[in-house]
Amino acid sequence: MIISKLWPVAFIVLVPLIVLLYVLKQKGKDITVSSTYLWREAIKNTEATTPWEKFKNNILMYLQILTVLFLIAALMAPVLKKGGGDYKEAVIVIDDSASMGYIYKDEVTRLDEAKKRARSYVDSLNDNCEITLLKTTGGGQVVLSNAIDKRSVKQAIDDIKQTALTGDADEAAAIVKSLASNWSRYGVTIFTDTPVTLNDLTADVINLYSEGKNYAVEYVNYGIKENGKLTVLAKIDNFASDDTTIEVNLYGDGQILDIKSISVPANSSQVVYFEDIDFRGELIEAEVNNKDYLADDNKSGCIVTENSGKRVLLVTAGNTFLEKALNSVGRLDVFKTTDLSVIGKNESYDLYIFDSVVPDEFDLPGSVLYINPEGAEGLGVEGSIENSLITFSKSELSNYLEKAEVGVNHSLIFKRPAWAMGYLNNGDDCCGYYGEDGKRRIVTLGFDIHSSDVALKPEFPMLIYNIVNYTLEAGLTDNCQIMTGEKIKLYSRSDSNMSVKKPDGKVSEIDKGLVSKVYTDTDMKGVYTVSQETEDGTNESLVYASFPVKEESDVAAGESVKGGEAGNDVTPSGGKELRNLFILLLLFTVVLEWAVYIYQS
Amino acid sequence: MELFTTDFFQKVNTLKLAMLMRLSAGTSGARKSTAKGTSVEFSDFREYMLGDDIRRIDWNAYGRFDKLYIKEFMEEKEGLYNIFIDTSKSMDFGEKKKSEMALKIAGALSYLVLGNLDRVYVNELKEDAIRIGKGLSGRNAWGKIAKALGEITFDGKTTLSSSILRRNIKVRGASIIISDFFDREGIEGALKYLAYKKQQIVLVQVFSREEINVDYEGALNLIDSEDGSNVKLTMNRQAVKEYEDTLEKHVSYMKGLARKYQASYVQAVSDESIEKVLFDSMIGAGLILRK
Repeated sequence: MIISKLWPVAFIVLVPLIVLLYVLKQKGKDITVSSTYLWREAIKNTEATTPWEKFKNNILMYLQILTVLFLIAALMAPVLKKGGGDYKEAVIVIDDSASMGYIYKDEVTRLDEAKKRARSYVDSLNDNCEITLLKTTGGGQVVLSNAIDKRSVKQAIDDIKQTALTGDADEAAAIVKSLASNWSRYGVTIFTDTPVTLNDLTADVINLYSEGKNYAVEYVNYGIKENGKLTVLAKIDNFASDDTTIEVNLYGDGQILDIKSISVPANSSQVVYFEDIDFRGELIEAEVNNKDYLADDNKSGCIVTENSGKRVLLVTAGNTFLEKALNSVGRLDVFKTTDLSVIGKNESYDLYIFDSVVPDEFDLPGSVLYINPEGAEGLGVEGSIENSLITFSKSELSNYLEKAEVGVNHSLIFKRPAWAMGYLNNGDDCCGYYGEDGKRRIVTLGFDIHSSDVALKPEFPMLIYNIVNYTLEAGLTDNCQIMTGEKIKLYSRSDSNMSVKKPDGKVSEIDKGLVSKVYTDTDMKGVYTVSQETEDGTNESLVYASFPVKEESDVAAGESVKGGEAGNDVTPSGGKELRNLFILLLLFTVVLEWAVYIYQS
Repeated sequence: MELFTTDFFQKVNTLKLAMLMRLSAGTSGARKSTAKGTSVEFSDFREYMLGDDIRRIDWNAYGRFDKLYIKEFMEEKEGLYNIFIDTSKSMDFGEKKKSEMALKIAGALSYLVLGNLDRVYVNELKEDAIRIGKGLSGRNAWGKIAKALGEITFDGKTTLSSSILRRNIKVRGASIIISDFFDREGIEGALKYLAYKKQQIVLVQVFSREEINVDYEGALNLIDSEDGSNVKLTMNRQAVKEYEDTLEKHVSYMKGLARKYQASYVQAVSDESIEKVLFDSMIGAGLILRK
């Protein structure tokens, strides 16, 4: 038993006061009777001789003393220790990952159940307990820290929303472990549906894993045929333990395009194809019709990107290697010139490649690749190296090239601008960088392809492919397909602010002044619309965030842990508050006292 | 206040006293006696013995049996009634005072005694003394009795036994004690004495309505009207119940005493009518009879 407050003990002075009031009886009203003979006899009978009679005669006094004692006890807010659950600090971790959307029982999700139990746990904690609340997504986020007000804690619990994010309680447990290192009397309760690695952390784990059929659309993709029609494929997962015929609907911009049934064996996947889909819109989605225990993973989709070819102007004295590599990229309209003066006169291009030449002035829309920009100003050339090996550092441009090395006779060294990232290095020297200077994407390559062995390497076409892909992606985002929880990198195309609309319609404004324009609030699956006002009107890019099916649709079952021992279903408790009990007893004694008084008088 | 009204006399005239015992002493009267005497009422025969008055020999019997028989006749004696009235202050209590009822009962009984040609003594018991009234008989004496009763005052305290013991009773008779019997000394000594004196004893216990139905509440200081002593108590259900139990025990005790000394017990409440006391209680107890 723990006493929360001691000051009510002061009321104990009321007890001798009550006794005194009974000892000093009230002055009686004088009444003359014929004789006190019978009254004396009567009083003789009422005078207590046995302890029981003494008790009975003074029962009102005892009841009043009891009332005071119950009042004191209620004010002291005692808490009955229960399984060592009387904590000074309590930590509640609630798993809000996608798998917690699974039905636990009777249309109640695992997260709903977790929140319900967590609220009840909060109620069972003593009033002075400092409560810290964490959720597991985002590597474990502290929602509320050292809160004493139970109402605000319960509100914070209620405010935890179901996400479509991956996550387990391990990282949150690690955070709690570091938090708890300074605490002596604390309790940790983790509500999750997956096994938790506690690593010496003493914690109760309330595992809310529940059995139930689940079907999911793992991903959706498409191919464009010559006739412009689409072939759409969707991977359908059956996580149930029996073979199931699954009906899949295909939607284009919300309109149904096709329906197919597919038989998927137990615990396996099948790809369903939708051929010759005549669709010119942007959003394609596939949805499983079968009812199951996790609804959020039943639908997935992708964004159909622009199909028209991009225009590339290659300014070079002649570079066969480069031309061939550009041709291998495909669907590019490549124009070649040796005359710098034609630039900007007739047509605009999506990408300008300056091979060993540098324009005096360049202020056109479109991305630029500078190859060996000897003598260029404004590109940060600060020196050169001779006969050296150049390596690739990890970047968007060096996908699949991390292990490649290029031998060069001569290469420029750049002082990398603040907005750029290096991808080619010789030691600490930067031999190539890429980035966006606020107007366009710029890539530099410090050496002439002819004076290196890069063209002879099998990785050369991949390097050109990466560069072209990077420079031709002129949308507002770097990608149109992400998993929930992944960042959306934003590229500004004008001076105005950007905005991102979530699948639930919530719009976030992105300040144009931000150096790093990254949108991270991707906890929901569905379409995120990135918008920016430009001179030509509103520029929009769509990004589809998919449900993390692999990680969350079929999580492993875990066990509950209470007091270090595993069990199936444990109920958390932080001790039993006795205040209400004492208030009830107090009310009972008051009623009893009243009844006794009425009876006696 | 007029104690004895015409109505009172009309009712009392329909009654007569029942004296169950045979009297053997006292002056001649209208009541049969165990003594053989000179009345006209035949009692018995017995054989002649030396010294008998030869005038009382029954010659007819001698002629028939050839033996001398004496014819005996009943001696008629007057009954002697002692009425003891407790005149303590406690009797002067109640909205309808107990003393009034006591005087009415004493008057009624005296009237009946006088009407029966018996002799009555109305005795006042005060403190531990007794004021013995004149022995009166005959209807003509009623005026004196009524006057004496009218002059009785109720105050002080009375020790019943001590007072009654001071009454020297020489002959058989009846003793009627009218009191509330709230006497710490007890009454048994007096009863023992009266029984020894071959008295037919009647105990008339008079209560006031307030003493039977207690209607007090709250914290009280009860003051004894006789000696001024007080009792402090909180009047609640329990206290009232205890009082009622004590009263019941007291009445039972009085009835027990009455049985022990072959006395009659009559209870009267001061706010009852004298008719009720006479017709219900006393006739019920066999003390008086309808004519």
